[in-house]
Amino acid sequence: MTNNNKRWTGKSRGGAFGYSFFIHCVKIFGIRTSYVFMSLIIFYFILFAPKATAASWQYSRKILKKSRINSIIHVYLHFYNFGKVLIDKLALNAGLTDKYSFSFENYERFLSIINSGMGVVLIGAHIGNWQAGSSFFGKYGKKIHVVMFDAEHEKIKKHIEENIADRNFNIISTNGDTIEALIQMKVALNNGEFVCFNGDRFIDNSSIMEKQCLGGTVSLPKGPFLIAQKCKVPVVFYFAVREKNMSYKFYFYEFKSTEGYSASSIADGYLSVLTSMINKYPYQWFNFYKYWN
Amino acid sequence: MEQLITDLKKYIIEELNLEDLTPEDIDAEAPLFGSGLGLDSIDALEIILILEKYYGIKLANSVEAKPIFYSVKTLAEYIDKNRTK
Repeated sequence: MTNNNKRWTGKSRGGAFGYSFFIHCVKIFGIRTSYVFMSLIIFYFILFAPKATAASWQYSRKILKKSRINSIIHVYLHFYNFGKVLIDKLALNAGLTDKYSFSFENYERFLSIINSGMGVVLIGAHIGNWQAGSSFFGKYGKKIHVVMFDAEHEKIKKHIEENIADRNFNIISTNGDTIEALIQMKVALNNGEFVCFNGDRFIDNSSIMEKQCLGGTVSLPKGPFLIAQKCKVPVVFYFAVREKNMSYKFYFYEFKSTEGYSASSIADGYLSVLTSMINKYPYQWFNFYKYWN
Repeated sequence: MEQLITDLKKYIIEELNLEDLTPEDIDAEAPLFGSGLGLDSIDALEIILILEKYYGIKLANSVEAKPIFYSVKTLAEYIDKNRTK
């Protein structure tokens, strides 16, 4: 798979001007008015981001099996939801947490895992807004290490530095020395801390596994699942999705092994949960490239 | 130290499934990653687990750990100083 159209390049679209515009928009006009601006601006992206538009169309037609007419609506709503989540990120960065409400699924079980003292591998995806939870995790007193590629590293690092006062967050970059990164992950798990990955994207296509998901073949990075397997630590699948009325819901699913604790079985468990999340929140699947092979 | 190096090579061959190699094939001073033995980052994780399983060593500092992973010899020297079993 050498075509970049079918693989995430490690960079996300969005220039400094756009960010600056919406930061000011949120501060001056408020969040809901910013959504209205966004609803107009996304026409530009639909027209001038043809790869993303094509990916959204393919997702609608081939995966969600929508008609052509419904797929036109889908593409618009898909981009619009993405825009809303971007505005929410900016608003949360700006400290407007009180404008949102938050709810949790399987929270008690999640708390009991946290309190076990063991290191935990958290695996999320580019669905919804996983960063929405960042302001909460630090409160548990556990250090969180977020594993990411350099290209996405800087923006997120900025977000974390601006948003997380207690400095319980650390970013482990995998773009430089991967061995050092791996040692950092193992040290963190040995210390009973969290190591968080997004399990749905990969950069290095020499280390992937192919799986079936929603009727198509997808490629997942082996790394997160192998690390969980080898380190024999609890695995929690984590998602933060947007719901109606300015609210976010956090989902925590502990991986329970029925067929052994292998990287492949963990990935199967992950895809099973991810599939249900995509079915429930189809417009919040934010992989705007041809994800399915 | 020689015995430790030989044991370590055996564990690496065993745990990393390098069955087509013998301990004699591995140059103790050659880099483990990249141009030497050509191991990848997931293999590094296996080596960390070898340190824990056979020598009772749990790494606590990733910055200090990096030079330790240069070769079998550097690993053996570290093990010799820090092993708990």
